[in-house]
Amino acid sequence: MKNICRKYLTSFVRAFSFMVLTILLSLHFGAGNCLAAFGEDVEKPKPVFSKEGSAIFVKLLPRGKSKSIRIRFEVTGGDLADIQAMDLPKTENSDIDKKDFRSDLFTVHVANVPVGGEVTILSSCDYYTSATRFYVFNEKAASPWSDTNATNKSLPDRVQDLTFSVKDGGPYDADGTADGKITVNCGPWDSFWGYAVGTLFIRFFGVFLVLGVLQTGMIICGKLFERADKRRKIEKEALVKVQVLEASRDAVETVSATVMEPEMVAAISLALHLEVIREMESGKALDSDQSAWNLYGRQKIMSDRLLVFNRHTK
Amino acid sequence: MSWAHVLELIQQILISQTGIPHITGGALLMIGVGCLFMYLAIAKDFEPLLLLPIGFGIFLVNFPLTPLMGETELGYPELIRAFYHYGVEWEIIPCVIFLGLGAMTDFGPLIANPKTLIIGAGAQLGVFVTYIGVLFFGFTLKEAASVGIIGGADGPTTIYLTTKLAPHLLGANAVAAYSYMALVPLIQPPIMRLLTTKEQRLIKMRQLRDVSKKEKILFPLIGATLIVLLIPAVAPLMGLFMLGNLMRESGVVKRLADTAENDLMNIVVIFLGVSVGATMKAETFLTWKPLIICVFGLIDFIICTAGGILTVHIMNFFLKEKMNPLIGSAGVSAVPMSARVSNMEGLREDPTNFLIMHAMGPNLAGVIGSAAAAGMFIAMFQ
Repeated sequence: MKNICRKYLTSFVRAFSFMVLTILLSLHFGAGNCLAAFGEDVEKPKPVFSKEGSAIFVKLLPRGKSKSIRIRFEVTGGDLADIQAMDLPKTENSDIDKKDFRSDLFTVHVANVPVGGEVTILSSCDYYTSATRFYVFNEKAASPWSDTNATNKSLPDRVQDLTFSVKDGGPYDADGTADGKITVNCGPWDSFWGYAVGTLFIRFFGVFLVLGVLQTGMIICGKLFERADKRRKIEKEALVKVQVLEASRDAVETVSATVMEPEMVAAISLALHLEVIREMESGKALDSDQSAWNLYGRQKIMSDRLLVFNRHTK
Repeated sequence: MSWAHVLELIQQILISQTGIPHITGGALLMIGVGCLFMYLAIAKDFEPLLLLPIGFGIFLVNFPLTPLMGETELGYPELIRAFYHYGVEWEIIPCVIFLGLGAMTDFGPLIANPKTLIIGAGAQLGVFVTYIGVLFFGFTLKEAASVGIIGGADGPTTIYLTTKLAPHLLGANAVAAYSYMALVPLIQPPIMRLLTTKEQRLIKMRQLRDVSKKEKILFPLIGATLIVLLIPAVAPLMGLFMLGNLMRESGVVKRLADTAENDLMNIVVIFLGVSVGATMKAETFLTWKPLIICVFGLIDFIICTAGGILTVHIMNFFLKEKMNPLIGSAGVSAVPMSARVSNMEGLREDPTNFLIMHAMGPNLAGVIGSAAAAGMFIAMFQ
């Protein structure tokens, strides 16, 4: 065991050292590329836009998902002119993380707005949850990122509607002027860590649940099988008992069929009794295997058995 | 033709048709890593069935200009790329390996003591802790899930999940999973001794009841029904696993069961090993992430082992007949290595205490548990 452990330990230490050395050397060879792996946004959604009537649909693969989703944008109080994808602006606000914008950020252009008027932007998707919020970015504002406190309404088929208002030239309007056009940099926001930790607990207990259900199913099946086996065993035992009973009845009948003289029976009984008394007095009674009566009996039985196989004697 | 032309031609051949001028430091390092894996497999008998083809895959693919992992001008995959595409990306190989595993597995100990299934669930603790841990290092949710599953100590499940969620980490995850599985006899015993008292290690468990053939035949059907109903995402893995087991237990298709557990398994292991190794090209592998995966994989294994043992401790609060907590470490599904470690640790304390059959229950539960955890992650990202 010690040798095996030593062997494994040596291999492990070597492998680990080699791995560390490899990584350090590789960093030396091309640190820029290596560290880029951390900064690289490998999951950045690549939205595709399509206009259907007055609405614009965005199809994209959100962060942390394997299936694409469709987000619908619509505007009341103006014309939805265009929507473009937007990179996360670099700001000093450390609270904002690109991972919180799982469905990307967009620049929404609204035209034909009454000067200084207000429009309502509606965004709906079955990927939103009741906790989804809508954030707006305006670099000209004192606090660039702000929560729009959008109304979150649940619709059939698990679709959530997020609605918020933007005033021409107001704090959410990126161009900052009341000119009949509104530009809003915005995106649906979900807490990344809230989702990660929340789902972690659900999934971990989910594994317990699945195996617990399987365990229950197996226990029930096991009990059924055990009961069936037990019943079968009882039936078998009962059958054996009946057979034994019948066999013993036959034997008794055979013995009782052998007619013995009462004098003979009394003589055998007396002989047995005297033998036991004698052995008890001599202290040999406990060692019954070596009593003369016993040895004689055994010898007689064995001789009788041998007779059966010894054809020559017949 | 002048000498200048001849020299130019030679130069052109050297540059465009040989790999020598294109070799990089990173590629040389990876060739070294490949050689190390082959050395560990050949000289140290360290998971040779996988490390040898993986090592050779790394070795081969890191030579420059090799037509192995790319595509031809007509868009056809090159040799190893074809293995990888049809075997791994199409998720065929991990599922076929599960078919073979099913054909090899005797679920008797688990059927005789279904309580041990909960230990298999408890031993998945590390999977979820690691998932959160690597998120702090900038991994994405999908990458974190694929790294977390390493602690499940189930090679095909790790490969299956990683291919689905983070294929660029396949090489690192597969190597970490198989390496730590080989190191189970080294990693687990200190944790087992740390988390148990001498009295607990001396607990003798009642002999398991006999399991009838009918029960063994029904198990794959009941198991598949319940698991697939609750986690449909894991149907490819568990479906083939249970099919393999049904082939074994029914006894009517011995040839098929034999092929699944031997020939077919051996064939796919060759393609799997080479394909996984070939994903470890210098330009994709030489980053910080494999190092973090290496460290977190170890932490993952340790927490999974501890999770299994702690689950037994908790279960013992409620059970009349106490279980030996040493069997908890077998919830890490490195079959049958971790069950053997439990048995060895039991025998260390009491040479008459044989725990192998009791430990096989949680060991098999670990296989189902890690597949369930993988299914949970797949469902999460759907």
